[in-house]
Amino acid sequence: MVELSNISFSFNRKTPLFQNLTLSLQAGRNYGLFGLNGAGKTTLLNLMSGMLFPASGSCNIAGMEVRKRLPSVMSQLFIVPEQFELPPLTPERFTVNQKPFYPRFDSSEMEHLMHQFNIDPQKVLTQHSYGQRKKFLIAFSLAVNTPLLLMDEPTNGLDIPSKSQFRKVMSETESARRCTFISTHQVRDLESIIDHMTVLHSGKIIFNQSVSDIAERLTFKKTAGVPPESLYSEETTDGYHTLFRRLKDEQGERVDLELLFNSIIQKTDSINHVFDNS
Amino acid sequence: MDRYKVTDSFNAGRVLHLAKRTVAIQGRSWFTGFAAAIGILTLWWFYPLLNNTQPWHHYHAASLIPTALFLFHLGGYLMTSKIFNELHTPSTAFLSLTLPASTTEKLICAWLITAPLYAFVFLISLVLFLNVIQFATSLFAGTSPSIVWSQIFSSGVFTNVGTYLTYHAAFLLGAVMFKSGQFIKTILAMILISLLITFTIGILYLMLLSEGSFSLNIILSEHRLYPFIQVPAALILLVIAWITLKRKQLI
Repeated sequence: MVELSNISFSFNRKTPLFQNLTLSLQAGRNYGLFGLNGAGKTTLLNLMSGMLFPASGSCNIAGMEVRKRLPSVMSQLFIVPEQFELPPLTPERFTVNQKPFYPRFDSSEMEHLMHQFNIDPQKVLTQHSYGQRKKFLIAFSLAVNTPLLLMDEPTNGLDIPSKSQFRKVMSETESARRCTFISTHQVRDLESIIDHMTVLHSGKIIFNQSVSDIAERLTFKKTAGVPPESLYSEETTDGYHTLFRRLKDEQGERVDLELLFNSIIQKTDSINHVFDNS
Repeated sequence: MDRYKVTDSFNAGRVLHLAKRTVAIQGRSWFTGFAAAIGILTLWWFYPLLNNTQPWHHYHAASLIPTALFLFHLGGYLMTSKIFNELHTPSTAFLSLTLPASTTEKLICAWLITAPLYAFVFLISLVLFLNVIQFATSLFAGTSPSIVWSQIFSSGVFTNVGTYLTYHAAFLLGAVMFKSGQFIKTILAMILISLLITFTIGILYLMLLSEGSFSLNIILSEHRLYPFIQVPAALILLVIAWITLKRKQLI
């Protein structure tokens, strides 16, 4: 679906952000892109959407290079940026003007999503709150039904009920054809949505595994101390949250993406080693 | 055949959709500018009559044509300078940059709106406005109303429209190239480039003339050579605008 090969990119010559970054995304999966501040998550999404051009390497969607921004390529993707402004139009008028460019746009789905998110179709978008505008853009991004959907911090700016609505809507509109790539800091908000974890650190993809593989190879437990056989441990108010290599038929708690993310950042090699020796 | 298949070849339907989208987003500011121009022209008509500096029965609406032409140029260049505004702000650029339409379609749409369509709307508006003004003047003067027509569809007006269409390409390039203050920056760039060309030609002329082997005898002020310079120049500027738009990024 999406192939990034040997991408190099820098905002200035002295400090390259990406050097030979390679990543492959498959259709029908929801990828969560995690990384520390300044890791380059937004830049990676901008490169994937053709809004930035790599200095070298290529980003292809369905075999076509994104940087050419050909209509056939651009009609296959939609991006929901973290920071955005919408034109001073009503949601209805915005939709009427934007939808002809997206052949898979589903008007009934848009109507349903607008209703789900409780968005007034007659109120000018610039008069909506930031959260409402974001919900509208999320609704539009799902209704366009593009094979690739890029979302940058989609839950930022949403209140607690809206975050639940977002999760509900995302799971309802899950599509076997679509590849969703979500960049976020809010690991907990997206735990139920994503089925693949990608970690970007120091300009490199340091971890890229499916949640099912993670659940198969790792166990997350609460412990009283730090067991010597643990891979990583974090002290919390109720003891330690600890990560272990999963033993055969061993039961553990559900995958804790936040704990896993912290362990990957601090012990990249030992975590990846678990997945190497399969 | 895949009904979702989008072709990359030029698509007039997409240009029409782009035009509708542009009108929806920018239409309000255009209307404000149009209303302001009508207001200025109305004042321009009414003020001398109100101050009794000119008697009503001596007044002819065609005297507003030079002011209307000035506003036509100013409004058109301002409108052109702002046509790609959405592209230059990172928070709004995503919609435009990722829009499934080709660079050619985007540029042609911008050109069609700000050049031929704008000139057409101007001419229609000028006919309507001047005839309304002439009719109102006749009512005040108590004379029989006359139609303003030949003064509008004169070579002077058409030369102005032609000049607009050629200079317009420079403003379209400025609209793509400059991130802010596109109108002012385009004017400054044009002045700078004109000075540079004049200076270079001057130097070359002096050098060649001083050797006594060549004499430059082209009189541009006779206007005969202008189309042969302006039209290719406008086309070159449009090609540069296309390349700049094609290479436009979020930064």
